[in-house]
Amino acid sequence: MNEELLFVKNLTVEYSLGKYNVRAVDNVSLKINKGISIGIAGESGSGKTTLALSILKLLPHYAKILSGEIIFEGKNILNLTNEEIRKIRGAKIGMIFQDPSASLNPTMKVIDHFIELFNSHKVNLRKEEIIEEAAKILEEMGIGKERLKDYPHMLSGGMKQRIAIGLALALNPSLLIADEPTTALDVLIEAQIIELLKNLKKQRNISIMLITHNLGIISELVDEVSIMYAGKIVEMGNKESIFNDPLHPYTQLLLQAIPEIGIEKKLKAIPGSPPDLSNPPPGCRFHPRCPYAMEICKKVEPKLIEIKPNHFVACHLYEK
Amino acid sequence: MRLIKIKGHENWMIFIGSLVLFVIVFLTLLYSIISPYDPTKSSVNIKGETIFIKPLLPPLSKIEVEVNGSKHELFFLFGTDQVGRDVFTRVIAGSSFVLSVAILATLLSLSIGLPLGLLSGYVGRIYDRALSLVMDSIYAFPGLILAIAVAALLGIGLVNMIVAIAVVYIPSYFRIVRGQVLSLKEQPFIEAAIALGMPKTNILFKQIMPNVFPSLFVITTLNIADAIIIEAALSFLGLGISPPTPDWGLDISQGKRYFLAGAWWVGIFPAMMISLAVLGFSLIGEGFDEKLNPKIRTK
Repeated sequence: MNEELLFVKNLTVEYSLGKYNVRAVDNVSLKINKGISIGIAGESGSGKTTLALSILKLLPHYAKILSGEIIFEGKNILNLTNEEIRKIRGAKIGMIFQDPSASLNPTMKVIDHFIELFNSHKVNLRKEEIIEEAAKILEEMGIGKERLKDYPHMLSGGMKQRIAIGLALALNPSLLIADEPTTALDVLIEAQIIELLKNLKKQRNISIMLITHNLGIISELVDEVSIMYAGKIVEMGNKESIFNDPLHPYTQLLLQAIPEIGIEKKLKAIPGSPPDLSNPPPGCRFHPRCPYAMEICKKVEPKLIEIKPNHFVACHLYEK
Repeated sequence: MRLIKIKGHENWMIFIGSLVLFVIVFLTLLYSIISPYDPTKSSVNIKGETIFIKPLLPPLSKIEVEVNGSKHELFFLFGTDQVGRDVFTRVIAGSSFVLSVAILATLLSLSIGLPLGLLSGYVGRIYDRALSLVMDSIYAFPGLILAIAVAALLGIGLVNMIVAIAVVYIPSYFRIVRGQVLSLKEQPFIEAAIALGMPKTNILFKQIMPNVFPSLFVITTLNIADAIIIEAALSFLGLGISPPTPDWGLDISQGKRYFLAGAWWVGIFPAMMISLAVLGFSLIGEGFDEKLNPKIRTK
């Protein structure tokens, strides 16, 4: 049951931006088992998207992977050739992006997107069979097959995201990376997309890696949660355990910052702003904003330790 | 009742431009049926007899000739030129030469500029630097001077003329395509296509290239309009085609000598045709430009 699907080991990614370098992901380790979905949460600029992009080797040219391994189905992705990684993209790992309105090619009909995808992966199907297959997928995504003949501008944002999900899942990948899939959609459509992903997860038994700053949709969809702050994972573990008993001060503040409807309270924002990653603070990166900061926090970087079964935290408060 | 409904000034531009071009092309294709005269001969054949036509007859002239005892009336809508050829026939016959040179030259530049622009924009690196340098240096020359230089180098003739004009427009295609590819490359749908595992060549030719076509269409029509002017200028300067081939630029240059003598029609009508053809292509190009890129202009 606990078969390992993806194992990110000590990954460090740096962006070289001329004069200074930014370490967007710093020594991050992460494991996803087959059929288990994980959520990665954090503020903007905490390195969640960089982490996701490195799994598919989609990083921009100015990004450099300094160290680490990404092992997917037993192979280290970082050692694969471009052609080998291309065959994994779309076929074994699907990915959907933030902005559905721009994720389909405006000059291609919906069906042409599917035909291109199948042809790119040398799936031996005749055109009629691809159309049939695409119609089936669309139906699974909750869209009528008459939409196959439509151009993207004829579709709504929610429909486009459904089609993008359908494309990402068309070749039955074992992992779906969803990078803020609902950020650009309104709440009702967001709920529908989350519901769709939930059903797909159940029916297809895929793993979803959900990247978001919205803890609400994480609690809906995933089994495990990793909280990232300034390029590091500060807390990770079982969803229930983290939401019911957050250990890291950052997680606690993050959970308090969620607005609740019907309860009139002043929204608690986390004071200060995320650190400048080109010059991160020494010790624990959260200490300038942490209400419990101690002397040791300014000097020594805390390590990720297991406090409870499957609940890790990187904070000096819990070190003995 | 209106037969056609046209709304918006850009649609009117396209409509009028197409109408002008349609009339020109229609007349050109049918000139041998419409006109009894040969554009390169100063005589006309009536019932096996060759009758020479007087030179420099003014427009709307009618002359009567007797052949084998029966009278025939000859009518010259735009008059006759310095050697007695019908100006109307020459003008409409000339458009076939001018238009094919302009269109072929533009298509030749397109077929060179498009692949170079794609290469430069998509692959980048040293290709981009080298090609941009070459293209920018070509672009720095005024178009007409460059065409004259190339035409003088190659000598006169149809193919040489096409090449001379084509050289002028390669940079315009290159720059447009390169710029568009650079911005399209960063579009989310391209990132999505990469994430779905599409090969690089497919991404370039199936995902990026079709998105460049609308601008290529606009710039092609505008370039054809411009190429007509350059073609006329080359012929006017004697770097184009040799007489007696009907050609607007050639006819203007011959007609200008008779202008002061009062025979304005020899040069004015070819000049009018150049203006009309340029107007037609420009209207279509500008019309589609506004239709396809409505955001550029704030209304």
